[in-house]
Amino acid sequence: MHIFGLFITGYQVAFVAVAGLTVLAAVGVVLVPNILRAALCLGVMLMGVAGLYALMNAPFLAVVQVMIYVGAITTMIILAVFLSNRVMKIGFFQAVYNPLLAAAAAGVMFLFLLVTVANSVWVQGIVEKTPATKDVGVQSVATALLQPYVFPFELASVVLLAVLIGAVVIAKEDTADES
Amino acid sequence: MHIGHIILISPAIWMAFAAIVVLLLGVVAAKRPDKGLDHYFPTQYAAPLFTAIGLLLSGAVVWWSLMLAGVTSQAAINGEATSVSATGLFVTSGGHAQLTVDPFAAVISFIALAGTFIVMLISLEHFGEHQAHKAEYYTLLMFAAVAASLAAAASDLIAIYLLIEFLSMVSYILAAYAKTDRRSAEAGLKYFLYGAACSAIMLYGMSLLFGITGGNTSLSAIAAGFTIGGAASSGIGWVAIVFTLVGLGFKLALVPFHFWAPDTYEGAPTPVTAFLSVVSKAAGLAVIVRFLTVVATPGSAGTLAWYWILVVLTTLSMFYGNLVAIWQRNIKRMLAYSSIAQVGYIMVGVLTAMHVFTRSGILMGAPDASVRANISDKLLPWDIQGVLIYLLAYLFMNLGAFAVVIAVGNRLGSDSIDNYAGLMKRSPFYASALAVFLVSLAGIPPTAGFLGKFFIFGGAIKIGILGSPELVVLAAIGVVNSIISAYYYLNVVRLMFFTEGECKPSIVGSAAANVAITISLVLTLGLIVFAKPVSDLTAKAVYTSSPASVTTPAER
Repeated sequence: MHIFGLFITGYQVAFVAVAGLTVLAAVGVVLVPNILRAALCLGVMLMGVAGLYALMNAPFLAVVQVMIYVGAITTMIILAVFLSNRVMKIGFFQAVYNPLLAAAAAGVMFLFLLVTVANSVWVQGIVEKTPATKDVGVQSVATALLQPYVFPFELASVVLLAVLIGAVVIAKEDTADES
Repeated sequence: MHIGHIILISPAIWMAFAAIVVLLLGVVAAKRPDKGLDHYFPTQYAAPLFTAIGLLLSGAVVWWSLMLAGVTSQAAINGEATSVSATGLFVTSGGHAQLTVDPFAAVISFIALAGTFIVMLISLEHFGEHQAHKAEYYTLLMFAAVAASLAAAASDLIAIYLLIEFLSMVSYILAAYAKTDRRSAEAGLKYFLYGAACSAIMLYGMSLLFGITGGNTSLSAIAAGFTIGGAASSGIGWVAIVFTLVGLGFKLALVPFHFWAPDTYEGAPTPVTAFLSVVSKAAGLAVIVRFLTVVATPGSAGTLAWYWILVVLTTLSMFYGNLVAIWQRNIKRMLAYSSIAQVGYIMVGVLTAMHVFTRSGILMGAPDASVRANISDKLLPWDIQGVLIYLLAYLFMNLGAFAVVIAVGNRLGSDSIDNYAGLMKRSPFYASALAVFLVSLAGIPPTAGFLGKFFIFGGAIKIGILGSPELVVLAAIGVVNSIISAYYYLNVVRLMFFTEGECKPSIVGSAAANVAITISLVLTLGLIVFAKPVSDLTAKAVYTSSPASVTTPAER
């Protein structure tokens, strides 16, 4: 369709809608004083990112994003807020220090990146085709994980084990006779 | 990936295995603290003992593979004939390596393992017999060693990011390990918050790098992407690199990213501080060397904007670290600031190495065998070698200094520099050992620190006079800073030897601390005696490394 003489595709409308929602929700995360509402905004923002992935022809990534970030991480944050509220008697409100300074810094950074990204040379797939033009289904993700990226894939499990041990050490309440 | 290449990362695999054994042993020992194993063997030594065995075995493998460096063989990988040096390439499909286990990586691995070994010894002294979560502490320490030694070989963005994060996350936990101590908790939290922010920026930079070079994570493919279309000199190219350097600069505590360092170093348990200041930095430097030598390959280093950013950061690090260290009254804080300056010296070597690589015109991942064959006849004691030699020297002198600080601090219950007055009378061994380490850190001959500075600044001047005056200036700044640093290092020596303090009780540390100090002392003094073999070894490491191919002097 044509708006103000510009040709706009449905894809572009969808992109602007999803991206706008994501940015709005992200601003909400920072500005909403109630921490629970901020966490909900975070959930919306992460859903928006999942939508962007879906628009960029990466359905698997979109599903994983929803499952891990929205399903697990946001839920964990909300649970942690509830628990610390109950146990530690910490209020539900987040403090925003120097909002103007932070906004200025973020704005300058945004403009800087926008200008640089717009004025740069982008090399198009030199060694292999770029992922966007290929079928990025579950099967190709699995092949990538178990063939070229098998080392990081296996290493991730060691990382998780180490972090798990560390989390227990830090969080465990020590009884007097142990320490 | 050829299954036989698993052997190349076997040191890391063994370490991870030993870590899990220690963890399980801790569970067994905790269940029946008075009976069972304790009847036959005091379990409080089980965790350190297994750590030592794991480290020594892995170190031996690394050493053995280093001895074989330069021997190449042809191997077919995924149908392609590839030249594999004995320590070889860990090649994944498409010829791009996740890990490049070359001699350069082997030397850094060796530094990481040796460093962790000394940290283990001083942990015994610091925590004493009854340490909370002992098995977990040593497990995490070993995991950190695994991460550091693998990071040295990482040559793919995903592997680099994962290994840097692995090392960081274990370091956060170790820094907050003494959790009943408020300052330790603060140290861990501060380190974590700064680390998370810097790592997010680094990840963003890496994603830009991935994008501008055509969608590849392998460093060799990124280097190839940079040669096409001028991506390296375009705006987004250097934004990507600068953002990536933020994460690496954080690990090194280079000046604008150093805010966490003093508080974390002071608050964390001292052995952890020693680990962070040496092993963690060695791993960060290894990654930065690999990264810079790749992205610097196209064009000249001097024309790249971010090269100049690094020159400025290096200068700032040297001055800031030294000038602030002068005013410190706490010896741990003093060593923390001085380590910021020490990294500055090493970065001079890294920047020199960048120049050598840009002049060589050899792309990473495409080593030219004939060029390397030419070089092996006439080794030059310069360039990236200086980085490795300095790291070796820094490993022993800094860990040695920390070992004395722990032994003395444990007996005095304070880390104040004033308490070192008259230490000579209370413990001649510790006083003279600390004097040697501090003299070495200041870079005064005949110590290892002097050898390292000689190679780094000498190399910088040698490359610099060929048309890069900024390297000569950096070397001059380095020398000036060494003189500044001599002031506060030697001030401690003066206090120990020439001022009156309390004469008793005399200070006697545990056997573990004494072993650590003796090893460090022998190597700090001995490195200059073994200058030739060390230089040859590191030269071998540099000139036979596949990504680190260097040109002949004539071609420069």
